[in-house]
Amino acid sequence: MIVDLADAAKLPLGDCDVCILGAGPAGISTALELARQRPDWHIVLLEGGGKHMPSAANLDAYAGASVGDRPYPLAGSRLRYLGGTSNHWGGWCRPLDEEDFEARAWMPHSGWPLRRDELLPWYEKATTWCELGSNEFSEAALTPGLGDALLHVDDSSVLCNKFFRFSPPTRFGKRYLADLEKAPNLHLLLHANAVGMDMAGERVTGVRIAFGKDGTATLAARQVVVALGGIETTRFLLLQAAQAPAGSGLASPMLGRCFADHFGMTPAVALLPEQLRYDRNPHPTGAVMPVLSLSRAAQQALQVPDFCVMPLPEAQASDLSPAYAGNAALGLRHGRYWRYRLQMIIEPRPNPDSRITLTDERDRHGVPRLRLDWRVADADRRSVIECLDDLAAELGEFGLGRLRMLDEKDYLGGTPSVGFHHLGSARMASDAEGGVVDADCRVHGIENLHVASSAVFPSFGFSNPTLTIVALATRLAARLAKAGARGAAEKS
Amino acid sequence: MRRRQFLIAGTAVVAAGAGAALWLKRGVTRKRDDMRLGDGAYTVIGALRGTDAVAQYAIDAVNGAPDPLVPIEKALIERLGIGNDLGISASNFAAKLADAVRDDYRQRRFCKGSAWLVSETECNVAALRLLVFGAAPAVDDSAEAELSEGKIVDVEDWGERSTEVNTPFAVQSDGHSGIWIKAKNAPPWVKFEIDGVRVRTFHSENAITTGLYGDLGPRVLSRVGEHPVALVDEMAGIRQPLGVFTVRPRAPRLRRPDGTVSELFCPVDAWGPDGTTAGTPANRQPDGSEGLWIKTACAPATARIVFGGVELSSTVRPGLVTAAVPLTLIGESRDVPVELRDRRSGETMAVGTFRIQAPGEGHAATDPASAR
Repeated sequence: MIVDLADAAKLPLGDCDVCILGAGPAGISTALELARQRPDWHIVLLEGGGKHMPSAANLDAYAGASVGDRPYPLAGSRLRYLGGTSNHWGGWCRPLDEEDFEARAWMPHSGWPLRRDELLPWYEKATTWCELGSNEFSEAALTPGLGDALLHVDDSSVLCNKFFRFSPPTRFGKRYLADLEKAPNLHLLLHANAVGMDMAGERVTGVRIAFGKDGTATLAARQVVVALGGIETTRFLLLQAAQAPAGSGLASPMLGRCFADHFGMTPAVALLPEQLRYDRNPHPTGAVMPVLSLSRAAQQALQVPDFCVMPLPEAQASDLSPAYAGNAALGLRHGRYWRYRLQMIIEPRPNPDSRITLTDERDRHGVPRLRLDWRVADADRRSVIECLDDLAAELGEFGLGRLRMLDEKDYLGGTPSVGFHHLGSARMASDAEGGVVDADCRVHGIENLHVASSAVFPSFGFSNPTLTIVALATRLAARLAKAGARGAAEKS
Repeated sequence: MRRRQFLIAGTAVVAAGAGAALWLKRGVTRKRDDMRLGDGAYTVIGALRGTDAVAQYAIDAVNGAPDPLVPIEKALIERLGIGNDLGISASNFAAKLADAVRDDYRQRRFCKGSAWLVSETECNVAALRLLVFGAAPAVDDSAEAELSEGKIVDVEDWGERSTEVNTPFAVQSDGHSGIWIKAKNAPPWVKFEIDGVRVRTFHSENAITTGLYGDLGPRVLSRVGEHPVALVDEMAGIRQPLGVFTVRPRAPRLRRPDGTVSELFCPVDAWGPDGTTAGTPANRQPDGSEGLWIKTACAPATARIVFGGVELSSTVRPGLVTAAVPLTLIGESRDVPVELRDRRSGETMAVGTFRIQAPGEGHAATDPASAR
């Protein structure tokens, strides 16, 4: 059932089994999974916006200060209405790589407290939620169908091909609206703003909600899932820090830290064989987009963050003519060559100084506004640029092409392009000293508080986060449903 | 040697052999007495193409030498290990050169100062080519090189194909007029072109979308006439004409009985069907509804057909507005006013009266399609 509280004078219900804050991809998938798995439970999903693009007044909560050395698009990168940021999502999907989950010695604060294979069944489920059509991402399975669309690299190469798939993209609010309406044990409350939590010791007892013109109420809940998006989730958790039990995730020194976003740049061009299609390609299992990346071994040997390169053809006059590539005497393979610009997406390192905090200023619900000090470590970009030497060497050694660095000021000078992926500021770690949530996405030291968001990613890879967010959300829902069933059995 | 390295070396030998033949045919001879390498080597070096851009870096590296050729040639001889075989054949020189280049890359021996990360040996042979044979004529690989007409992709259909002067069409959220092209799996680098201007182009599996962005919109829409449109593959150098986008002159607007002139609507040229028998559509649509059409030289994209006060979901195309009338609205005999209404401004234009007769009274179908 969907209830719009825009003009409501009182909350239509007083308690629930699970209260989920935020109706984006994480919140909607968690809510519907729980509603299906636990028909005996009453699930409440809170959405601060309505069904449609909000008015400026409803975006007031998103105002904040971006004070880092580079401005961050705080308002433009978020959407406060049903479906959340899936409403402006491009649909790119890819699981994180195995190495993204591992602690890398050269990358402080990296590594998840869980392995990628523990997440694989949930990635499969996320594939369905995101309507990908196939969960096949492996190079071995997808390369044969693409032939000369790919640069020919083999196992001895530092390079490998990795693949994205595409969601339609699923606008979660529209796509699952009917399911939300029909679920008999689920209430979706629109224009219901979570403004705080009541706590008793190590438990959350209820969620404080602001609605209508000036209505406020507390909804009692046995379990609470915060799924407000990477930035708002962190802001909401920071609100509770004052009443946080010592040693809990809410009191973690890492709460608010390590905020990151994938960033991109185009540092080089290359002469490569013609007709490469590092773009959407038709495939019997649905469109795929190959990207060039470093093999796991090369990444370890070179000690660089995970990244990918998309060679995109450009018909521009070049100081080194494609005719150069016809020089077989220089070891170049036979065939026509084109000029490509090398567009990169780079994994940012977890940086504790890149941080979300609260200010004294408050929004119209009385919630402190946030302050974002976003830091992009120059080391991230420089280490990747340095490894372009290796890419150039690889192309040269195997006769695949030639690479040219562009002028540094053109790609290092300004604000890098970002993916609007809000990562890392409520990170997952094995204890509260290192992070906010545990490997099950439960806040350390709080029995019934959980987070479903890219804020929990402790390290980031280069893949767009939505698929992993939904995988973690469905895993969390299953765990809650199972734990609840066990609790009920024990009680009976 | 890995298999592919062997193949590359083999290709290099063949290419160098061809270059040598060309050189000898042209009668090119040793240009300087102090050159140590023999004709075989210079056949290969002379056949290099497009290398001038990196040659200067090797020359700069020996800055101060009275004659750069001498130290560069010496370095190359040492690098290739051919000091005792200066008369090496072209094919052997090509193979040794390719090996040395590969080894340079393996050892990260890049040509110093060059933005192109090319091997030191490459720079040296490029410098020798430049010093001995002079600058090569420039090759135009740019997008401005002439495009040949040809087929890039099978285009099933495209639109919109026309609009009235100064009238945006298929207006998108950022204000640009949208154009679609139904074509499967077009290469992602293919661009749309109108009036010779290449514009932002987006690709999906089954379609290409583009439009009149920025000041291109007013520029095209203000000029009555035909604007050539095409797809362009700059990489392959092909232009595929699609036809023309037509900007029509402004059609005369509706003059109302009170003498005022509508800004939005043109007079109705024809419409139909103008009646039917209760419960029986005269112009039956696949879903069983009554199909209604209105021919008029102009109507805003936001126009809707209003049937007896009920606004119908309508399609506005150049010269034609259509809508489906649900069976429930033609269930009983009555006279129904038909109007066109602009949703944005609320302006309304009377079209006529649709007469529904009781069964038995009879009514001739007016739509040619339903009469067939």
